[in-house]
Parts: sequence; C-alpha cells; structure tokens
Amino acid sequence: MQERTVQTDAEINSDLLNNVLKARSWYWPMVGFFAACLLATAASWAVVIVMGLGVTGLNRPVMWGFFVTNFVFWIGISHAGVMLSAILRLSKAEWRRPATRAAEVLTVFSLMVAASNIFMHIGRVWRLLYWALPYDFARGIWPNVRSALIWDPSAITTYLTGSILFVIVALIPDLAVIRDRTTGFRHQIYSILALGWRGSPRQWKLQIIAGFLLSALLLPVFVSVHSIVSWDFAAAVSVESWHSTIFAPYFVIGAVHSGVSGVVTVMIAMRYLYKWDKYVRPEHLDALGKLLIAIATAWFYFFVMEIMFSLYMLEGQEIALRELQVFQWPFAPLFLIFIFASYIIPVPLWLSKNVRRSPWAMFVTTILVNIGMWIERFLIVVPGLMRKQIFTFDWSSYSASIFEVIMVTGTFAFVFLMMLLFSKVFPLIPIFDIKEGQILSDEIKIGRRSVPALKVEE
Amino acid sequence: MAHINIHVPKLPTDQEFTEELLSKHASVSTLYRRALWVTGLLFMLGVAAFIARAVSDGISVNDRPAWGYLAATVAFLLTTAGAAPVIAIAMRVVKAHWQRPLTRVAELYSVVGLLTLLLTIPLLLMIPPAAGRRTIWFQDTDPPTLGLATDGKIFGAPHLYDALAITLLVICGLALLFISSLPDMAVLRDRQIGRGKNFVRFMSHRWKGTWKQWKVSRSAVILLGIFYFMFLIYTITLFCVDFSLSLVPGWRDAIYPTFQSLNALQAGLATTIVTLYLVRKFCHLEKYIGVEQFWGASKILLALSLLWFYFWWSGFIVFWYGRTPQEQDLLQLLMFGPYRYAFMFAFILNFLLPFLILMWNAVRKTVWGPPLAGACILVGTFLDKVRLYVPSWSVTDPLSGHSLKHIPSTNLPDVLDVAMVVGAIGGAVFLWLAVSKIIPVISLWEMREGISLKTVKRFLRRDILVHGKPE
Repeated sequence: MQERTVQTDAEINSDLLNNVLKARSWYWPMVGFFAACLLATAASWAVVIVMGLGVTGLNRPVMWGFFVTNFVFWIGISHAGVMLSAILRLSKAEWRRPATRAAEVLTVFSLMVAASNIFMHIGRVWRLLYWALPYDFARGIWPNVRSALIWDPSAITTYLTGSILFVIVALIPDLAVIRDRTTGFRHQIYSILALGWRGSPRQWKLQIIAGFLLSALLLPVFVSVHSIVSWDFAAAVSVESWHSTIFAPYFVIGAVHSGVSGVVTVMIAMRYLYKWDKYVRPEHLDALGKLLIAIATAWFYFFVMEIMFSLYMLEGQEIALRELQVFQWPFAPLFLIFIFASYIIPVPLWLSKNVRRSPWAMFVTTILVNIGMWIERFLIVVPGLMRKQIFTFDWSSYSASIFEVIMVTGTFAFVFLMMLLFSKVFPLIPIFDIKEGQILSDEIKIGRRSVPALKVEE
Repeated sequence: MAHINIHVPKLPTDQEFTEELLSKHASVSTLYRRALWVTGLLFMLGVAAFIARAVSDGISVNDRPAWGYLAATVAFLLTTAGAAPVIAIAMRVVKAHWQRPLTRVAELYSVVGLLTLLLTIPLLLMIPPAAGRRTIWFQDTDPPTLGLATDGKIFGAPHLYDALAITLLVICGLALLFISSLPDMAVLRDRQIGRGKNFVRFMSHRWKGTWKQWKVSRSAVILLGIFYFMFLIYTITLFCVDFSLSLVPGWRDAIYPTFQSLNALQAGLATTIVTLYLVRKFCHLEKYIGVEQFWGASKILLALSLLWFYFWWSGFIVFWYGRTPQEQDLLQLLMFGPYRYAFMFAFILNFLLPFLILMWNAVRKTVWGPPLAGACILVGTFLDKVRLYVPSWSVTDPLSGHSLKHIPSTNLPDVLDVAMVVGAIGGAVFLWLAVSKIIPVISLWEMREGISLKTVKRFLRRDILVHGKPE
C-alpha cells in the first residue's frame, strides 16, 4: 500500500469513467480492426458450415484438433474471474481491487467464446441437438448422462450464468455513478440498469452479502467446469496419455495459471491504454507476480507427476507416445516452446522484484505463459489421438487448415472486441471498490516512522 | 461503503504481554508433568513393542506384512507433525495478522521430525530394491526401455533418496525453529528464566537484536520456510510412492502424491488448531489466543477438507470409469474390499464431518468448532493411512507384475501393533511438550510486533481497529 496516492472521489470518477463518457482517439479504429477479424472468422465459419468439416484438418483418428484445443484454452482463461475476484474477495486481499472487474468480465467473454468453439467443432451446428437432446424416443436413443461430454454444457452454462450475475452485482454501484453523470437516453438506460441504487446502508449491506454469497457459490462451479472438461479426456481408456487420475486438478491449476496470467496482461493493457497508472500500480503487479510464482510452481508439480506416472508402468505404447510428444517432429519444438514459455522463462524472471514491478516485463511474460498453455492443450489433444491404438484402425497426422487458423484467431478478436465494447459502456475498474480502498487505508506512527495501515473490516 | 462492525478489544501493552507470557513459560504445572510422564511411558511401551516385533517377526524385505501399522503411523506423523510447520510458514508468507499466536505452536512440531526420521530407518530396511519392479526410479529393464534412460541402476534408489529427503526435511525444520525462536531465546537468556538455561544461552549467545540481525533473521525464516515446504512435498511424494504405491503391482495413480500432499496440509492445519486449543485451555492464554485465530484457520481448514474430497473424487472417478481389471482390483484393495470400514470412516472424518461442522459461520466463529473438526481430521487421517499403507504392506505377490494376483485379506492390528502406534504418537507428543518448555509456546517477537502494529482509531462515530502493513 506504500505507493497509494490519495485521491478525491471526483478524481476517481473522472479517471475511471474517462472512456465511458468520452471515447479516446484510438478506440474506434481498434474496434474496427477486431470487428474485421471477426468478420473473417464468420466467413470461414460459413465455409465450414456449407462445405462440412472436410475443409478442416480433422480426420480419423485425429477427430479433435484446433477447436477442442481452443475450447480447453478459453475455459482455462475463464478461471481467472473466480480465482482473482471470488477468492481474493473472500480472503479480503487489498490488492485485488483494480483487478476484479477485468477478471470477471474476462471470465464471461472467455466462457462465451469457449462454448462457440464446440459449435465450430461440430461443423453443422444444428447437429448439436442430436448430441445434447433426446431426439428419437421410438428407438430409445438418449444422450448418455453418464458421459462428461453431457455434463459440459450444464457446467459451462451454470458458470456463465453465475459469472454474469457476479459481474452485475459488482457493477450496480458503478452504474448508479454513471447514471448520475449522463443525460438523455443514456441516463434512462443506466437508470434501468442501476436498479434504483441510492447507496443506502441497506443496499450496501445486501450488495456485499450478494457478492460474498456468489463468490462462495461460484467456487465449486469454477472447479467443476474444468474438471469436467478434463474428464472428457480422462474417462477415455483407449487413448494413451489421457486416462490419468491427475487430470482434473492438473487442468484446474493449469487454467488458473493461464487465467491469472491473462488478467495481468489485460490489466497492463488497460493501464497503458486508459492511462490508469494511479490505479494499476507496480505493487499490484508485484502481488500478482508472487501469486503467479506459487500457481506456476504448483502447476509444474502436477505436470511432472502427470509425465512421471504416464511412464510409470513402462508400457510400450505410452512410452512411444511420450517420445512423439517430446522428441519427434513436429511436436518436439512445440514441447520446447511450451515448457520454456509457461514455466522455465517466466518463473525465474518473476523471482526478481524488478521484473514483477515492471509492467512491460509482466506483460511479455504473461503473454508467454498463455502461448505456452495453448500449446500444452494442443499437445494433450492431438498426439494422443494420432497414435495407433487398440480401438482405431487408422494412423494419421494432423495439420490445421487455414479455416481453423482464422476461426481460432477470431476467438481472440472476439474477446478483445468484447472487452473494448464493455469498457465503452461500463468501467473496467470497479469505482466503488477503489473508493472503499481509499477509505479503509490509513497510516499509523511507529516510533518516528509512518507505516501504511488498514482499517479492519469484519 | 463496507459495513464496518468491529468489536474492539482492549489491546495489551508490549510490557504486559511479555511479563505474562514469560511467567507462564517459567512455571511448570502438575498437569504438564503428568502429561510428560504419560507420553514418555507410552513411548517406552512403543519401543518395547518395536523390539518384540523385531525379535518375533524380523526386519527384512520378506517381513513387511507384520509392519504395516508402523508404516501407516510414520506416514501419519509425517502428514500431521511434519506438515504443521508449513502452516506457520504459509501464514507468514501471506502476512496474515491473526496468525501470530499459532506460528510457534506449529513450528515446535519440527522436533517430531527426529522421531519420524528414526522410525523411517527400519521401514527402509523392508523396502525392496527398485530393480525389477515398477517404481518412479524406472529400474525395470524388461521389456521396453525408456528413451530418456535407465538401463543402468540409479545408485541407492529408493532407499538413499528417501532417507536423504526425510533427513533434509528434519534439518530444515530444526533450522527454521532455531532461527525463528532466536529472538525469544535471547529474551530468556537475558532474563535467566525457563528450562535448559545453558542450552538457551549457548544457542542465542550471538543475538543482540541489531538491525542487521533482524533483517537476516527475517529473510532466513522466509527462505527456510519455503525450502521446508518444498522438502515436505518432495518427501511426501517419495514416501507415499516408495512406501505404498510401488508395493502394489498395477497401482498407477498420478494424483496419489498430490492427494497425500494435500492431505498433509489439511492434517498439518488440523494438528495446529487442536494444539492451539489445548495450549489456550491448559496454559490459560485466552487473552492472546482468541476466536480470531480459530475463525481464520477454520476457513482454510474448510477449503482443505473440500479439496480432500475433490482430490479423492478425481482419482476415484477415473478408476470407476476405466474399469480395467487393475483398476477394479485397486478399488477393492483400497476402498471397497477388506479395508472398507477404514475407508468409510476416513471419508466421513476427513471430509463429511469437517464439512458439516465448518460450513456454519456460527460454528467456525467459536473456540470449540474448528478444534472439533480438526480432531475428526486427525483420526480420519490416521484411518486413511491405515487403509493405504497396511494393505500395501500386506501384498506378498511378486512386485514385478502389471497387476495384483490376489487381494490380501484384512490385516487387523495385534497388541504389538497397537502399542507401536500409541508409542509413536506418544513419543511425538512427548517431544513437543519437552521442547515447549525450552522455547516459548507463543512467539514473543511476533506477538510484540503485532501489538506495535495495532492501534485503535476513531472512524466516523466509532472506534475501530487499524492494522499496520509495513510492506
């Protein structure tokens, strides 16, 4: 708390609403760029729908490729919201304040985009109905409710609903602030969205209780979502490298690693774009950097266990698969990039306080983590399916087609675009949380020194 | 803004606290003496039982089935007393204010490491060499070899590395205890009070409390703490794999080491909470160990208990869905077969009861609720170790195969087993009690620091507590 600057409520309002009330010069060109990317994605998707999955690189036996990899990746990113917002809110970590909104919003948009990958993967999207709903009573064809593939939509929609509620509950006081600073049509819209917020003690109490309750309720959902995704793989006995007991927590901790890194990237981008140096301070990046060291190291421990126990039985097929993943073309360089980008480069760098406090260094290292984690998911999904196994009769390779590449790139454009649009309508840093932090912070005298202090909440 | 509703306690002064705690440290109650005698006698009983078992059954690789309960007990000590110091470390790293009274209570368990190390030695004699069987040392040369290595032998695996891991853990724990209690020992030295005056004088003779010494000592406490945590995870990983998993042909379970590590954090916290409750009650430290400590710790205990279930479930569902013959055998051996009652009670005591107790804030926010849940977890953890280690040590099949030939029947404890279990746990308590009279059971310097960082200020129309956050 040593770098905190004392600001008035008016200054906070003005700083944090600067993009909402008035667009910056770079804003619309950037929106246009991402919208164009999205248009290209839509065109590619249209081709896939019209022509079928044959235009992608998917084949037998590699029936899961870029889309499923991307699905797992975005589900991972979505874990940032609860990890940062709910856990830090419950543990009352002071440094959470500027990070929570971005984390929550990132969760919502990543979940949307993750779900869209499944639609892309199906090819002709209406076939999802065959998979998810009972469609032929006469022949007794029912969705297999014992399959994790059926649990996925329930888990994701529950998480998405909960996350949206979480965002809305935390937004209400800020919406009232915008309502009071707008006129005309916008004023009317914000008045409706603010749900009659007046900031009475009772409203504050209910808002805080709702925030805490949602935090606590979302935690098990957050764990369940990626666990269920992991069981899509782990329940399959026939694919070497997938049938592992560690998959659920390994996926969750990997998701947290990539999600928190994603939030740091977004925070630094916000700091640069919106000139929020006073709110996203080096001390926040320092705390997040320390958290990332712990998360990354825990993830690495799980990774080592996963590898070690895949080799444990010394079975020929499993060893051959791991050799393919680690030593053979084209996966060997990918494996090297993955391991260096997600752990070996960033973690030793984060051990230095200077690096943790440097926005540029943190920006680069957290992007590296997510490059590594995307490749990690690819290395889990594809090589396992490529192997000749007892239940397959074909052995093939996989290379993504241009359509897949465009569509996957488009998912990133979608998330960036949605974040930009959100920031035009709502503040990306919670105004009320920052003001609360100002009020709760204090100073005490110890000897001749003034020490930053905190009024204790209960 | 946030609803601020504080009951502001009367804050003791630095002087008041120091005098009161030192006077309690210097006095030796009858109850303390009795506890020391009883645990000492139990320890001697355990030693006698150990000798009797060694004479009657022998200590060699082929005698393993007779020693399953001792293996379970050592695993239990490693999981509870071995993990307790980690709780102190974690609380210091996150700079939680409420942790101050419980750090020393947890750290004192470092001395129990000496007993764990001692008891591991005979167990090591009963572990077969890694060559020719499936282990994490990859010494099986038949048939496929690993591209990465190892047709040759790894020198001393697994015995040397297991022994080394536990030894390093114990040394690191003792160093941590020494460094963190150095300022307190200096106070005892200067005031000439407490037991083991010569020892305390010798250990603390260089401590003068200079700025540089404080800086070095703080860094050392954090660094040693991080090392202790890493050694603990490393040791538990090796111990649970070499002393149970690799003794059962066909048991491949990647989550097992992480599950055991997680269980260690849960049981370490449970040990700390239960001990804190007993210290509060019998040392009459109600003024310094309040609801705040139990409330803070209980939330973490609840989270760890939920994670216990999650880790167990994550392993279980993969075996349940896999249904290969090996997996079905394992489910029988470890959960639904001869040790089903141990598993059932472990499940109830490690997860269900703590969850039902700690889910209520009104219960969490009491002095008795968290220790009750902690006591359940300690019993549950012991039963969990029994259902994991005793069947592993009962397997008499050749260890080189891919699956179990037959599932061993229930190995119920006999008198010697019970005496060894009670003796080992009694010995652990004895060591903790003995050291608690040499080093104060509550960290003087951390409490004094806490007092100096707390103040009461007027905010709007009420008095509230303000905590200093120097870093």
